Amino acid sequence: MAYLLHAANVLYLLSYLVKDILWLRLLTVVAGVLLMTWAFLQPQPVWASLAWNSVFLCINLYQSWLLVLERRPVRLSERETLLYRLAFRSLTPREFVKLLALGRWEEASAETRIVERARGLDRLMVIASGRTAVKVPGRVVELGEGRFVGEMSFITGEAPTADVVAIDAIRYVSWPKAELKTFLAQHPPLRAAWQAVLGADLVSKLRAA
Amino acid sequence: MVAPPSLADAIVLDRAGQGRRLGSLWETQPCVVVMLRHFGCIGCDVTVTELAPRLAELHAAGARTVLVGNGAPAAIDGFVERHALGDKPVDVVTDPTLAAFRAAGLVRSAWATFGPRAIVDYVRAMGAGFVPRKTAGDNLQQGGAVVVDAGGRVVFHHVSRSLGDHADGSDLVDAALGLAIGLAPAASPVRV
Repeated sequence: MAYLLHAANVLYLLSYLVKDILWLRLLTVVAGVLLMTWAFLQPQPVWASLAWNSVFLCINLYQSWLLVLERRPVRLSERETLLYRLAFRSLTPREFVKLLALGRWEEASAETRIVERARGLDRLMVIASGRTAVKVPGRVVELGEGRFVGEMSFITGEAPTADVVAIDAIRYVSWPKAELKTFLAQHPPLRAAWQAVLGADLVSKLRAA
Repeated sequence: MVAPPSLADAIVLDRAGQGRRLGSLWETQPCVVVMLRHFGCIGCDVTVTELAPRLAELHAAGARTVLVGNGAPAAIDGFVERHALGDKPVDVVTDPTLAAFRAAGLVRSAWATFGPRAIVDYVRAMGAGFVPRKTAGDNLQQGGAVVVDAGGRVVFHHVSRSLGDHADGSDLVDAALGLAIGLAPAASPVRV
């Protein structure tokens, strides 16, 4: 039965040689199973070893599963691909999918007011198709596909000082502001990437003003 | 909160040793002032490495970014070269008297430099590939960050509690974007 112990240790040795964390965990899982088998088949089973290796096995299996989930290829629908190309190229597709999962696809017909001046705005939107008009006193500015609506309220927390009305039928993604802020605070790299996207949109509007 | 006169009046030195009032940096535009420790600090290397990719965003938002160390002016060139800051929109100055650090309410203590949290910060930085360097300034002084608008109003303030504690670059960008929105004309599409 000693061959089980040797085989387990050879696998541990291999696991220390690989650089990929998933392979390291999987090799450790197999080695752990062999070691537990060896411990169980002893004339007096080594229960302490069995217990500890069970814990390690569970942790490694769980972490391996998370790694596999993270590495699965990302598939975007046609409308998601279009929006990604329009506004979110600087994010990875996986980051984009995480953000989309938090938002909601919505539609509005022409002439619908999606933002009301001086009224607290609890969401942030990005236009996927169609055009909107930002109406500030004495001026109307058109915002089209890939542009954000509500970013000032999102950044400063202040109520909008303009109305936003759909010029034609529009489709957009809407994120609840509070949930989005919480989510981004929990994911610092994604927050930085998101901020770069939103900031670029904001700066281009400032320059056009 | 308005920046205290002692902060605005603190003299910082450039690489040539020429002095100027810190407040002169935010007279015409918003300013992100990141107070570093000494120029050889491993925690400051982490701070600047994380901030460097955000400098363009801060610049685009109309903010001037200034890094303030506390070593000799002669150490600035090496620091700039090490972090490849030469072509980036950032000024690097120093305040060996620590007057600006005191005015900004920053911490100076041995506990923050050698305490358990600092040790964890140190090990974490080394694990991320940063290497400790020779002390080039006051080793006990901790860093921080202040974002000030062109009127001298402080809109963001961070006090570092240990050598690895620094303001999040995203918070600095948020503050700069908030100021940019505040400066936008009333009839602007960003007013939403």
